[in-house]
Amino acid sequence: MNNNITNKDISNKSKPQSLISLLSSLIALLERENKLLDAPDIAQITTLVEEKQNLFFEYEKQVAMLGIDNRIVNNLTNEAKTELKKLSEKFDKISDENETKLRIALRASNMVVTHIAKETEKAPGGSYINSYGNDGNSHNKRKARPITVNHTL
Amino acid sequence: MSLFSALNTAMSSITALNTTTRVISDNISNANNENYNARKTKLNNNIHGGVNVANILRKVNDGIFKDLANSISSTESNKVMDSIYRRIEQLIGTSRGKTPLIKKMNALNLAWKSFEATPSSGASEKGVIQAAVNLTKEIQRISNGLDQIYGDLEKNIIDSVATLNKSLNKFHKLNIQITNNAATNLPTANLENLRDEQIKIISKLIKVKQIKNNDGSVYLHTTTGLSLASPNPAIFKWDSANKALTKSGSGSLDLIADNSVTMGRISSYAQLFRIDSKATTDPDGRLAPIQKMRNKLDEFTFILMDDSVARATGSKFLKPGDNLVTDHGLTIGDIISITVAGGATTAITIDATTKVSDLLTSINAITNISARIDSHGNLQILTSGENMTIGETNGTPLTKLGFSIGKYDADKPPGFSYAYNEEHVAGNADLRGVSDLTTLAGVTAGDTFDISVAGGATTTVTINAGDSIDDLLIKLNNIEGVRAKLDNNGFLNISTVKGKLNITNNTNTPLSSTGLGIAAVSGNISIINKAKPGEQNRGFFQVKNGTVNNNASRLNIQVNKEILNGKKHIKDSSISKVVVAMSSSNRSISGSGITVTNRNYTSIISSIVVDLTKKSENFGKIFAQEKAIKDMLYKRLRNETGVDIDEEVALLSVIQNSYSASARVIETINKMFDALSAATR
Repeated sequence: MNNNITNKDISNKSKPQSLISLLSSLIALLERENKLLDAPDIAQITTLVEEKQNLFFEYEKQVAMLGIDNRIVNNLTNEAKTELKKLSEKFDKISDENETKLRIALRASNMVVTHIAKETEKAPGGSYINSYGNDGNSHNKRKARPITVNHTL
Repeated sequence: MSLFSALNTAMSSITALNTTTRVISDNISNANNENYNARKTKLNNNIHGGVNVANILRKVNDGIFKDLANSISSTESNKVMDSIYRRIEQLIGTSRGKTPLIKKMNALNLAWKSFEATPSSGASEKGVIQAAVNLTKEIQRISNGLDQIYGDLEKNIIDSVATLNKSLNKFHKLNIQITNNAATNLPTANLENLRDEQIKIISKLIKVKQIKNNDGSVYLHTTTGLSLASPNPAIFKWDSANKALTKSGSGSLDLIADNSVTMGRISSYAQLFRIDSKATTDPDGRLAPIQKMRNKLDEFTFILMDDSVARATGSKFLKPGDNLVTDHGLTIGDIISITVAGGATTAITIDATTKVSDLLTSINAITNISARIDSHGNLQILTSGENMTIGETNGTPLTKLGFSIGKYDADKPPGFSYAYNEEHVAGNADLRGVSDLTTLAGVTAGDTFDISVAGGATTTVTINAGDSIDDLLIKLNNIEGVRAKLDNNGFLNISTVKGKLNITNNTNTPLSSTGLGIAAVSGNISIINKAKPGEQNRGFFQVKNGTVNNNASRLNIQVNKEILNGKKHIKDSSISKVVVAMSSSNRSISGSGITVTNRNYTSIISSIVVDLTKKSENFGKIFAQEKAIKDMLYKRLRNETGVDIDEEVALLSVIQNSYSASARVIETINKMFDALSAATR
């Protein structure tokens, strides 16, 4: 399921409708993330977070427009208001769940990474690394760190 | 919680967590060193370092295993709480979305209202009686259910202690085998796995700390350092009589109260049985939830039965046998003073041997004053007079017992039982500011009248020359069971809730004189609200035989037997007053971790139930979160290769980014809703 909603998609709809679409897609995204967070997988989560960041960028633009043009919210029909209220309640529930799941995942990751950091710091360094100082002279005082972290993952 | 406050809470949490994770990420060696970021292999021994990565991984896995053990303890602890609260909720009915206790209290309220509308209807009267029976039955049903849960929990803790002892024994044997194998270079991996399994079982029961020794053994101890398996496996015992956990080799009389054993199932079960002051007064839902629920039901029952005029309650947890000086910090020579309705003050002096029970006896000896230890363990002083003032003539004894010093005025309007029981005489002359009663028409010095309550001894009241209205009120409030006041119009009102009021002129007719204006028929003073023949004059609710009203509880409350058996009718004249009493919002209970003030009876019951529901939800949530963390840690360890350092750090970073993104979108949504709410305002 592709939940990517672009600025163009939103602009093509009536403005109250785009507001509803906006909220619906947010809910869909958080629902997907909530599911993924039950067993965090680095590859899938990474993709989702990138999507999340892009989508939210689009949302911000929409909200900025809302701030400028009061007519959009002033002219909401009763139907649109009801729909928005319903979606707001759903969003409230899902965002709360998302916050909890992210907090849990972070706590677990923190525990693991803290051990890694601690053991890495405690591990003895190896031989000295040859290097040059700003006086142009060779120095070999810097000791290599025991292990490294691959950030390309 | 409103949407906006929920979002704000989430945002605060995100900010706090971001800071934490950033600090940890920054601590990873070379995490920001670009020279190393481009490496394609997942994990490298630094080419310059030659460090043993496997060794680091093993230690990381050991560390995570310790976290897992802690997480198991925490999860199990919260699992127990969650399951107990679920059971209590099932009993109360909140888990089914039905709360019969609230419904039955409400039904009683409505039945009285219906009876007020049709007082001559036999069906309406029966409706009241049935509603009251239903309420008392529901209180007793819950009480029995709580006893059942309590009994089951006791069985659970006994079983858990047996499992703990068995598992410590197995752990000890495995430790010996591993040490022997290691010493002779035999493989230990399988044995270590078996030992890990035992550590997990033990962690379910209590929280442990583990230290790996060079000989391959693991030293297991409690969080406070009590050895669990060295040199021999510890033997724990649950003392059912004293509700205490003890351990061989430890002098502690209760490892739970000492905080020597924390978390895990056993700790949670044992916390439930605590009856000490900390446990029963602390709002913490882990401590004595069943006892607290019983206390709340008891106190609710008491306020239904309470027919006092005013009351003061301390906040210090007391037991009748406690010595006030040595146990509660009062000083020898401290003096408590109690005054009823501006009359003479009674002083009670504390000496070296004064016990709480002695103080109760002394207070109960004061006219129109009684005292009790309430269901929450606090001293309560009640008056039947118009008001009371409690003070401290020497030292601060009442302050130390948690009282507010000062005057306590009558309930307005009075409570349920007062409203039912009360009967009175009323004047029609404004007596405010009268400084000499003998100046009133028809009243002369030396006039007397007689008064008795519930067929007791008759007291003759004399109006002396120069007696003011205040003097008369003091004299009347000094008669046991009599309350006297000037009502809002300044008319004299003499009442009792203790039984039949008998009041007659003696020397001359001062009461029925124009000056005092109390109505009389054929020379007999008219008693208002008295029971008609065939009506029950007092005690719509009563305690079972052999119990005094001040000890009313969930176990002994019942609808008056005479009414229930159809021998007596409900007192007609009380109906409207009872209806007012039931709907007025000036009832309060405080103790056992809850304070509810200025509510009606139904609302008090609702508050007790809501408090329970909130605690239950909270434990449900904590349990779910702890379990999720435990499962995540377990998944990492279950993997044969253990933790993948690169992936773990990357995952942390991604989750952190997701959190930031959530914070941003929540802020965005907030703005959107702000705009919407402004538009729809």
